[in-house]
Amino acid sequence: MADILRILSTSRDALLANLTAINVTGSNVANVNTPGYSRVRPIFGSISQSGIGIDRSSVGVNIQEIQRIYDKYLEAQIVQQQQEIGYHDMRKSMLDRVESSLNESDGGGINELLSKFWNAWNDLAANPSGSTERDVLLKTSESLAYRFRQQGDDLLDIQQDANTTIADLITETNADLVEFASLNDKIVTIEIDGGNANSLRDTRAQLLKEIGTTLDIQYYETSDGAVNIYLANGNALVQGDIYWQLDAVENVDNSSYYDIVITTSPGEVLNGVITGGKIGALLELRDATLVGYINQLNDLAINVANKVNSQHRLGYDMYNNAGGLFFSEITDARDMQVAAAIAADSQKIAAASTVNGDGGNALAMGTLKDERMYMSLSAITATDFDAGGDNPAARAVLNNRAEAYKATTSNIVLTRGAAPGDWTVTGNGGYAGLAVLSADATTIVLDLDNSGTADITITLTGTWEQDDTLSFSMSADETSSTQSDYFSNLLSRVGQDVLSAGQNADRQEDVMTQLENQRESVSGVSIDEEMMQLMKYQFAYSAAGQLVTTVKEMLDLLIELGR
Amino acid sequence: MLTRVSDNMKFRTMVNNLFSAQEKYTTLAEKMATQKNVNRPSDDPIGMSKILDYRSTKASLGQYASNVDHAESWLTMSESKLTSAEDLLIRAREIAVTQSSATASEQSRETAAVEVDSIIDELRSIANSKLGDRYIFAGTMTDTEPFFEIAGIPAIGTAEAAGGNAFDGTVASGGTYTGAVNKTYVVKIITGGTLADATYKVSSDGGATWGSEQTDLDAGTITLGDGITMTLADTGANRLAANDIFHVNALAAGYFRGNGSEMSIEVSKGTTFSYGISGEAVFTDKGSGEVDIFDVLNDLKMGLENNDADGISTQINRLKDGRDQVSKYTAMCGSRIASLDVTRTNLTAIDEKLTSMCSDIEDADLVKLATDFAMKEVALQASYAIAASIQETSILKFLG
Repeated sequence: MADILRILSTSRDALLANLTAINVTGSNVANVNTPGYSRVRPIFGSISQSGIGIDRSSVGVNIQEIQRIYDKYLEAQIVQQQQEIGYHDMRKSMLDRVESSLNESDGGGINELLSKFWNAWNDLAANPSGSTERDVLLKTSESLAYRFRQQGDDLLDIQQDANTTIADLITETNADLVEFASLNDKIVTIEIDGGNANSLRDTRAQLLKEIGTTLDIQYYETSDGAVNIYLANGNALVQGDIYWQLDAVENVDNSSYYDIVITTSPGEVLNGVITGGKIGALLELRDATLVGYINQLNDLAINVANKVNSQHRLGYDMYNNAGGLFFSEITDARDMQVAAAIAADSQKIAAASTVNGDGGNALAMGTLKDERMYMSLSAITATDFDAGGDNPAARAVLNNRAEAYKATTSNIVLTRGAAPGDWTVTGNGGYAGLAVLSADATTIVLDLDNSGTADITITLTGTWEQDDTLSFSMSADETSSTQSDYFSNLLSRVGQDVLSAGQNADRQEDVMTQLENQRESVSGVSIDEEMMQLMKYQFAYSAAGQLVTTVKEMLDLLIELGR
Repeated sequence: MLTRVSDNMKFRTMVNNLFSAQEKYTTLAEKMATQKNVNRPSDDPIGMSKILDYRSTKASLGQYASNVDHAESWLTMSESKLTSAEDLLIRAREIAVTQSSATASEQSRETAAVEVDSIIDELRSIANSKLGDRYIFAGTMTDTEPFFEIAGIPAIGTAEAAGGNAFDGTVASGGTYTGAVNKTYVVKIITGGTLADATYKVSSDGGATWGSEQTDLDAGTITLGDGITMTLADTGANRLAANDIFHVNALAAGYFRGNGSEMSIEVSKGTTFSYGISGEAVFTDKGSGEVDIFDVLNDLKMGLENNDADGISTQINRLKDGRDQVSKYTAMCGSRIASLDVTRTNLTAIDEKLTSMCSDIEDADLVKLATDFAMKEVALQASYAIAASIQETSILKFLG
């Protein structure tokens, strides 16, 4: 049975419901530019006014739910993709720095200075007593050493920056983890009472992305609405409202490096676990890529210094002294220096190969540029003079392959004297300075270039007797490159790394754009759509108002009739 | 299903398009400005490494070319000096021929002797010619004036300690030199200490190669060879130290006091080129020389002064031999210069080839670049135009 008052309450429901809907539309419009905002939609539901089953004439309306439009699967992909983006963007931006520090497309770098350095020796060879040539060589050498130091410092700086950035990112992530746990707590509390935590969920999703950009995580949502976060190895970072904190602690072996741990178990280093996100990229750069570059640069600097020093010792300076060190002896490009004595007095450059002031040594120095970086030794031939079947054998190794040894012009031959360990040089292979530094029954140590350092170690096996000889030769290691090739190889390696990092970053960016667009397509706000909705709700609201007016007129009519 | 297009999507796509158009535009603008295809290693890693290789090679080639220039100027100078020397020797031989005949008088021979004397002076000045500060016919001892005015007897120079030696005792040379050519003996201390403890090595070629290690220094006297000794006296303050060096120059009889070595320089990868012609070979009978020209001329002068017709005629053939000797080296200068010219031509050819190879990788193709640039510019402008019209496409535009 129809009830006029019931129409009033139906109208009231309709007015309220549409007002709420307009309100919801308002929120969408207001948040059109809020990052991570998922649009919401009022779900209208009809309600029967009372339990009277047969009377279907009066059905009211209410907003059953304000639904958050959200694709869980897409969001998960986006978090995953954030890790990729974080990794590749970070890698790209760090490698860009390496590239610009090493860039030599305009010249002025190590390659060019090396050429100038060798050329300066040639000029000196042409005029060995010329003080201009000597000073030019000295200045060129200093520029070369300075460039090596600078380059070494640059690479180390970038490595250190990677290290400090790791610590900074950990501080940020820790703050995010705290907030994340507290959001979990709030969402669970609100939703357990049937409340609506839509905006908190948006904030949490946004936070999840930020954490995902920083390091690679795994996560899942529990039935009560909390999201738990784990590291790749299963270490929990957030469980419900409980959180764990990461910490950057000094590495035990290298105090300038940070190790990543969870504060509750400081002994367990997680560096190997984190392979994604910005921190993953920084760890990889710091511990592998940059270490590779730095080692290659050091190898080159050491080889240049050693080769030049070795050759320099064989010559004579203007005071007729044998050449000393030209570069200081180094183990790191950052320490490369022209030896103090040379820097103070260019007359001490040993350009001559005799005490007569010729340019022979400078000439020999100039040819080092075309030599392979390393030398290798042949197998040892042992000669057993009494042929007693005692089968002597030996093996020789170069102690420092980077020294500037030259190929032997004839075999190096050693002959054993009466006692074990009594060895004399009977063939010097073109090495005028060849000497036995020390020897015993099983080992002979040779000094090739009169530097006083052990250059070749020979290990003896079998039975050696008086007059037995051993001989071997030394040749350029054809598998090693020349110095300038080695450097251009380093540069092209950096270039290749930057190029692929850039391509990866671009590709990940494209995937991300695609995913973001999909997400926007589902959850994003369209003003056009909202305007249409607004018109729809406004229509409905006006109509409900019209209904009230009609009822009022009807009531007025009834009251009039009753008078 | 229709794709919903949210406003964020619309704007983001627009911005992305703008960025990408701008990036392409900027990259091309950089290439236009530098006119280079490879501006950093990542532009073309392999290409960059090739460019660097080419550049080092080019730098070496430049150096080889300048080495060739240096050697050539040295040889050209030597050649012209030796040609003058030949002329002088021809003149001397003419004098010898004329004055050895029976028609020559004592007076004419006296006059001729004066002329020969001036020929000797002139020839010595030729043999002592310098290029810059360096004597060209002194072998590798280019700081030493190579020819004496009068013939010396075998002599030993003062023994000298190198400037940086630790040893502050005295060193002296002794004995009589019996060697045939000029030599520089060098003693290098291997193990320092007192004379009794010290060990040393001896070199007879200025320190390029060494004999075996010796220990018999107790008395302080070292036998260098060819009759020469060197004596070290330890004053007790600073002892001998490793790498202390002492040397003494030993001169054979004659006018020459340089050495017989040749200067050399690198003219292409792995190729050293001897460009110095030692006065020993050209003007003396030592080393690879056969005729001592100054000796011949002085004999001629003597013969003229002594009015000795036989003495004069003996010199005719020696002078011819002398001239042949000089002319052999004049020709050698010429052939070395010719070979340097070939080297230079090769260097230039390789350099040009390298420049073009380098340019193929490094330099931008301007025509293509300009076209691309214009296209990107249009694309960028189009992106701007679309961006500007984004507001037009909204329902708000149509709602009262």
